[in-house]
Amino acid sequence: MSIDSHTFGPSWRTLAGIALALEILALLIWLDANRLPEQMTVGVGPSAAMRLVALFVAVLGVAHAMTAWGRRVRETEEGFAPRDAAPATNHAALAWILGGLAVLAACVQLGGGFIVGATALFVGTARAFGQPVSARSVGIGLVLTALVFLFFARVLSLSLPAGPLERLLLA
Amino acid sequence: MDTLTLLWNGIAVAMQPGNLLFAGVGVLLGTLVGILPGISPSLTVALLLPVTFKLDPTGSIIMFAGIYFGAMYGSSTTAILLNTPGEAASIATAIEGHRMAKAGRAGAALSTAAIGSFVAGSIATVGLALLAPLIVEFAVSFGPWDYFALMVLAFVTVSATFGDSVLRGLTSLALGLVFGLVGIDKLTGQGRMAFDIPNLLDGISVTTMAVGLFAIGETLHVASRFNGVVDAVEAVRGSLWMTLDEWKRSWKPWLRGIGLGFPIGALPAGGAEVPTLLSYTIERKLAVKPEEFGNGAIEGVAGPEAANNASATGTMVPLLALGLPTSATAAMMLAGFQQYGLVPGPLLFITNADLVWGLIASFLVGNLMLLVLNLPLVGLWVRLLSIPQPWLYAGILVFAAMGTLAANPSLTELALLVGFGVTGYLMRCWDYPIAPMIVGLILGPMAESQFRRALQISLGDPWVFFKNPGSATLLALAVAALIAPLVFKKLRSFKGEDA
Repeated sequence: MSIDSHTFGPSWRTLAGIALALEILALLIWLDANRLPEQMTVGVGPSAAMRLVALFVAVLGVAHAMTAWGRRVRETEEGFAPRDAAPATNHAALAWILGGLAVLAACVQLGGGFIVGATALFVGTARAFGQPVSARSVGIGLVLTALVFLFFARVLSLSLPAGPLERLLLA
Repeated sequence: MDTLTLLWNGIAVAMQPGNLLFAGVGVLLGTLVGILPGISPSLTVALLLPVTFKLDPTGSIIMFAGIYFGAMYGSSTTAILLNTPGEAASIATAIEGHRMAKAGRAGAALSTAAIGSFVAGSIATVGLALLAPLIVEFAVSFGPWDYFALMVLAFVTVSATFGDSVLRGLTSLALGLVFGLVGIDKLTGQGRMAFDIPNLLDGISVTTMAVGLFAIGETLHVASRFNGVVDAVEAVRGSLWMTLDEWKRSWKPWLRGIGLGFPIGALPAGGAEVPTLLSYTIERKLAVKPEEFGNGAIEGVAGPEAANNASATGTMVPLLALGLPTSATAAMMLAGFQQYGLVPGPLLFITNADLVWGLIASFLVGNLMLLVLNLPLVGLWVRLLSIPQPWLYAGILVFAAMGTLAANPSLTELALLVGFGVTGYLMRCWDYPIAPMIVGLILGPMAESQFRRALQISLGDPWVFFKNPGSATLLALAVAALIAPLVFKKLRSFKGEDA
């Protein structure tokens, strides 16, 4: 915290992007609030808080836009380095993890079951941290997820998504 | 003396074999998960929330408290041996503690942290037991406008003291408030921001948000910086028994740490990092051998660790007495209460006195268990630190997915989890604090219902918040808390120290 307080923060392009996203979000909330019917009783209805939050978000968006403008001047004229440009991002690692999550989502949706999906997530994440995809990582993943599934089903009687493999285990 | 009777009854509740078991399991689980690098106490509670759906309320809430204290203990072990603070509050511990470990005094560092945490936790719990009933008595006369103003104050202090930019803190809070709006309005039954997706009508689950932001966001962030280099774990060298000199150098920092931590935690000022860093600074100023600071000074571990534990117990004062969470972990504890339909606040002290006092007493029991269990078991805990990073993070993500899918096995919930994960990743990249978002999600809907109740009573007069002295004062404090950091920043920039 004490170290970070003197860094420069995100670049002006990032800030401008956040500003735009916040304004769009504010607009969405406002439009959704308009959709609600008028309140007839005393006090305020469900749309009042939405309008308050929408205004708050819009003001924060404007503040981001102003910061972005100030930063643009300092980046272009005074040569400050933006923070988010500095460290190299390991895109491959991010892709492996998000890929694993996507496989899990597909398994949940298409009935592949928790064990297969979560094993894919396990193997993908291990790969992201430098562990090659191998029989070992698949094996550890399968055992771990099967144990988790059985613990939930038997001890807590909570059901995780079941596929063919899970039905085999429970039978 | 009434309080003492109640506390005594509480101890009887906490000492029931079942509840002792829950406290023990919580303390062990908390240490186990908290010791894993990169996992904070709030994430520990979030990950274990879904597992406790079907358990007895008193027992599980006692277990949550155990998890909380255990995780804090675990985080400081990691900070000392691995130099990886699991949370901002352990930064100070990591500075001196890791140096001590490198110099072969890990045993003493772990001991002063553990004993300091125990002393701080116990004294602060007594403080909590004395202070909470007073606040409850006071809070009974609170109107909805007072509660609303109190929540606004909590919003401001949580966003302005976490992280270093008020704008980024408030933006994080606003995101939490937006997600808090999603779902069916409790008073009129109208769907808000649900966009005809049935799952969204139930609202956003705090577990999904916390697990996404903390577990997935943190994993993505660590992965994006991954370059094959692994941190080295320092072996525990040196005796676990502190020497007389080390005791002498530790006890004053412990007490000063408690003096800083408990009041700051009990005020709705949010965050344990303020008292821990304050304690670190003070100990460095008061040290007999200031040259040791930066090279492993035991005072620099003892003070901040005591401050951290005392402030964590302090945040239980507003949480239990007012239902006001002022840290991410307190917000997760509140979610734990809500899971059983319990609402912390003055009423809970009357309707569920056994639970409240059992919980407070269990803090004492839990702290004692931590002291007795953890120092002898430290060798076992250290083994956990040698789990290779790939298996560790892969395991964390499997547990994250498990928690979410167990609560609600649907694609929407999983998509929300991934969405929050990516949001958490971006927030880490751009230095936005996470905690205000969680507090916003939990406290936002509560603030709204108080706001609407106040306006109903006042027959729609919006000035009601300024006409009542209580709420007017609290709102003025909120404005002051919002403006103060900005003014300080301006002053600093005048001195030419502009960030």
